[in-house]
Amino acid sequence: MSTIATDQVFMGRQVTEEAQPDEIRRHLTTHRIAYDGQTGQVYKIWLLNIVMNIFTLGIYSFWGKTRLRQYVAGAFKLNKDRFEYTGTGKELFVGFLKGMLIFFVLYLPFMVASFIAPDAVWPLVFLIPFFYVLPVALYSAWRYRISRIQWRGVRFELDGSVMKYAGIFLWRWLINIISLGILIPYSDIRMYQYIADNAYYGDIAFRFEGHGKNLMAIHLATYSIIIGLFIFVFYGLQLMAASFVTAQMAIGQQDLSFDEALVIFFSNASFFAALTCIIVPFILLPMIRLIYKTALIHEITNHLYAGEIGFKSTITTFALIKLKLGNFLILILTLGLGLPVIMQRNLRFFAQHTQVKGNLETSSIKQTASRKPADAEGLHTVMGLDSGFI
Amino acid sequence: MTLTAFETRFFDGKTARPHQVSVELHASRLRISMPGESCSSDWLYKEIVVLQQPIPPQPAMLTSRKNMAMRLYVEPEHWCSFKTKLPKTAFPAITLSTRWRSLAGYAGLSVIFVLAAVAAGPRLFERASELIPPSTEIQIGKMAFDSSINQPVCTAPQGKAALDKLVLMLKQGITRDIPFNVRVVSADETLNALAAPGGYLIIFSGILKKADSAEEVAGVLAHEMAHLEMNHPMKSLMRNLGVTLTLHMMFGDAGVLSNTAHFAGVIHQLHYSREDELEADKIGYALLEKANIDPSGLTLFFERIQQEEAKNTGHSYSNRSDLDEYLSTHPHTEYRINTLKSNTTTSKNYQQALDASEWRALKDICSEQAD
Repeated sequence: MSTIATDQVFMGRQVTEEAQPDEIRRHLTTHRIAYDGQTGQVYKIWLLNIVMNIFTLGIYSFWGKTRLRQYVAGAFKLNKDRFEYTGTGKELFVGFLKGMLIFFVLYLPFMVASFIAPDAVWPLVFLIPFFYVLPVALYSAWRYRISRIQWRGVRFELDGSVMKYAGIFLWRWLINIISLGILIPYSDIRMYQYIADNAYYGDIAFRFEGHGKNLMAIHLATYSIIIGLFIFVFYGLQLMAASFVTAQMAIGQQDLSFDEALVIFFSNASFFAALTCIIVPFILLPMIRLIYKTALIHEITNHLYAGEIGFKSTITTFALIKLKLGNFLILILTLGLGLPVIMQRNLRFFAQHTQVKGNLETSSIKQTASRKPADAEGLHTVMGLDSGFI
Repeated sequence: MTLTAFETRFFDGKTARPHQVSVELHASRLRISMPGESCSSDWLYKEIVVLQQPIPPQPAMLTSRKNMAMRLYVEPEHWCSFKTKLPKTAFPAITLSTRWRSLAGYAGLSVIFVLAAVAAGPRLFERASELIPPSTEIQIGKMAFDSSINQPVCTAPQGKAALDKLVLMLKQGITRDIPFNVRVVSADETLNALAAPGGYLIIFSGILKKADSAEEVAGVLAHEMAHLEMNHPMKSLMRNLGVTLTLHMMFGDAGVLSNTAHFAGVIHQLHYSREDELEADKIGYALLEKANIDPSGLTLFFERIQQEEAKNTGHSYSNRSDLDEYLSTHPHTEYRINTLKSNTTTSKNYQQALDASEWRALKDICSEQAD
């Protein structure tokens, strides 16, 4: 590829651009994603949503959510140009009503059946479609959100079939159970693969070249640590039970009051040993899982391509732990009023740790007619899957 | 100084190619021209749509009605003088302001709205109970009974006959057309009775164990039947449903506010059910009078509960939680006894509610049980 000649139409006129060959070769140019959303502004939009939801009994939430998404998308900048969210509150509202209708239609047979035969087992058959509801809701929400984002006036798009994704999702779910979780990396990658394979930016298709096997070593390592910790916890529980018995015996023999018995109980060394056995694993377990999570994010980001453009994640486990722990503390200490701060932290974290590699200046990417009018994320909302309020 | 020209980014909506353009402002149009190119494009101000006003550092985003896929950005510093050129039609119909002063105003109005809803809401939802047909009410009652009562039902025939006799006597004062479905549930530790929609009336055997006479049981029965006469169970069901639903819709996404609101809702409902309790006491009293049963039985029973309360305070822990549960949903017993006592005026010649053998049979109703 020495020269690229692209024909571009600018306001009805033909413009021919001769790209610079040396610039084209500089594929490894790294672009940072910038996020300049202001916490104060996010707070104001959030507060407006709360107040307006009171007035409108929650109906405003669809417009409020849209307003926030518009602001947040506009705060992301890649190579001088901002992203844009083009969804509307009306779309979300109509989608929600549709979602309610679908949910009701699916639930009706079960309701009728269990009314006819309240004690029978067969009405449970009608709950089987609900297995599909979760993945279908997830994928259609992804499809809606991705197709409502654009950059430099060109849309992103997610194609593919919700039912196919649901099929993969349920199949992998089954395999995860049968393999006792050992094959989780293959499942995670397979589900991500389907999304990546069906994603587009204009007429450029995304491509994913990662593989589950790259994650197996780290998964098995963390997996065995977790199993080990569970054994540790089990042993701790036994110690704890033993110290209870000791304390109880002390009460029985010496005719102690309840308070005195408590003192004996807490001064029992094995009790503290047990406490450690319980507490340490429950702080350690999520952290160990984040090691795998980091590897997964690296795998799915670093092997994703859009045409000539690649991506890179610089997330470290330590940074991820710091983020999650901080978020948890903020949520607890502010009783939920710190939600916008948590959101800002997450968005900044994403921007800080995601890079785009390749030449963005001479992109000849063309806008395409929308492949499929994406339904809004109604089912997703009805199912209560929305995390936070974005 | 008026703005006449500025540099900015432009996207044609056909390709992802960024265009660094200069924009010249004229009387009725703006001209977009690309440096180094001879071509330019004119946008009439009346064709412009403002997709987003600037929120610094984010610029304003414009498009043209000629082709809504095009994007022209206007940096915040140019916006003030630029926007004066645009007609009203360029701006979206409603944009709620997020200035702190506006937010405070909305918040004030929403407080008023919440207070109004709290004041009027429960009564409004209660009215909805009138729309529910009796057959549905009976179904709801059956479901409530089946799902909440796990203990066996007491079924000794003579005891059941005695119970039915009491219900029949008290039914004389009932004007509502409902079939009564009275059951004694085997739970000796539970000092409670309750009424469910559709004429369901449940007495826990703890009441029979504690009661010293048939008049005391009749008093409790009359109280619960009065609840059903006034349709309290259905009303409270609709009220709870309505209040919960409204609060959820209002505060659904608002974290801590949501929890506070639900807590406030529960307290509010408690207050309401106290009003209902007092009404049930009054009507229960009338039912007993009509059946010619001594209404002081109810008073005696409450006094017994009160003694229990005094005895338990600070000492033994047994029965404590049951009593607490009973007291939290029932008005303070002392207040209640006084109210009832003031209603008991002259002592008439009442008939005995049950004879000695019937009373023994009722006390013994749990000698036979069914699941």
